[in-house]
Amino acid sequence: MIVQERFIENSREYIRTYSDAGRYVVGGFPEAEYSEACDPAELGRTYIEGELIPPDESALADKAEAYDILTGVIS
Amino acid sequence: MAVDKLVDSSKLNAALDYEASKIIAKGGGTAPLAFDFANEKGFGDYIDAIPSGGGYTEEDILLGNALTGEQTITMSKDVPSYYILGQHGISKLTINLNGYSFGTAGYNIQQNGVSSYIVNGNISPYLPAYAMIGDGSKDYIVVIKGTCPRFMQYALRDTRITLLDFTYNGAGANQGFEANAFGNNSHKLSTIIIRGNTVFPLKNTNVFTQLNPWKDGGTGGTLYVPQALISAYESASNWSTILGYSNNQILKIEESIYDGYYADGTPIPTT
Repeated sequence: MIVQERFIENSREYIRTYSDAGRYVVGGFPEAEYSEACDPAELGRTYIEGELIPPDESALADKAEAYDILTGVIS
Repeated sequence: MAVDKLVDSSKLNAALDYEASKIIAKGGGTAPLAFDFANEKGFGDYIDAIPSGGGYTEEDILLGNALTGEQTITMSKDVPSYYILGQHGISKLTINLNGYSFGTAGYNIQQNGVSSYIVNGNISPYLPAYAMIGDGSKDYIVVIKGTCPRFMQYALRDTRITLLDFTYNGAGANQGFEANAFGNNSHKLSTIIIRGNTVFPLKNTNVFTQLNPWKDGGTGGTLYVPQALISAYESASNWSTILGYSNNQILKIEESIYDGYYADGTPIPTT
């Protein structure tokens, strides 16, 4: 299901759109798959929930942490 | 029997001079050679000193192998994944993709102390995690002299990357900067140049919100795009948020040093 949250940043109202199922949301400008989309509220952009799921960030984050420890070259 | 008694000495001298000239040319030197009679080696030691094999292999360059200075590699296969071993010495690595790309599992190249990675050719289907990194000891730039449709998470995660230059012309689904394309530590990445005729999708604001200079209240990042796309980027999903932060700016390529030139200073061929 699509989730939309309004927030204000630097005196401008935005809408954050994402999927509660962790899928891409499809739409926006340029029309594309977004793991999370933020748009100025006045633009009234709409999204639908896509079929695809973004790459698993947590898995790569764990791998990155392990890599950092092993090599000691990236902080 | 002394065979030389049967040989015309002037012809023998001419033949040895000719042989010596070829050895000098092959070795890249200019100094005359001495024919070693005493040790019965002739020109053997000079021949031994000429590097063998006709150049470096892909593995020599990708793995470093004590190479230094500027090196160019022309791929005969995809840039292998899981090759990064933290090699030292190469200051500028030019990768001619030659129709190949980066192994999609990532962790492709790590040259410690590198100052620039130059990629000639189009990257497909994406630039994977840790595609081109350093070791945090020296600032470096990444110039892709071709298109790149998608940067995966951590594609260019490195504390010392300062600039990215690439082209996007838009085709196909699921393209753009994936969430955390620069990870959470590319804090010196202040300049991004996106050439081409289409807005490059920013698939999540966290590509930049974790990074000083781009984050809200950061020191400021600069995005260079074609003049015709300035207003489109300013209203694009996620880009509008990032470019709304007070210290970030979007500038026209046409009025910058990058007009007609890649970020490494080489001219862009006109077609």
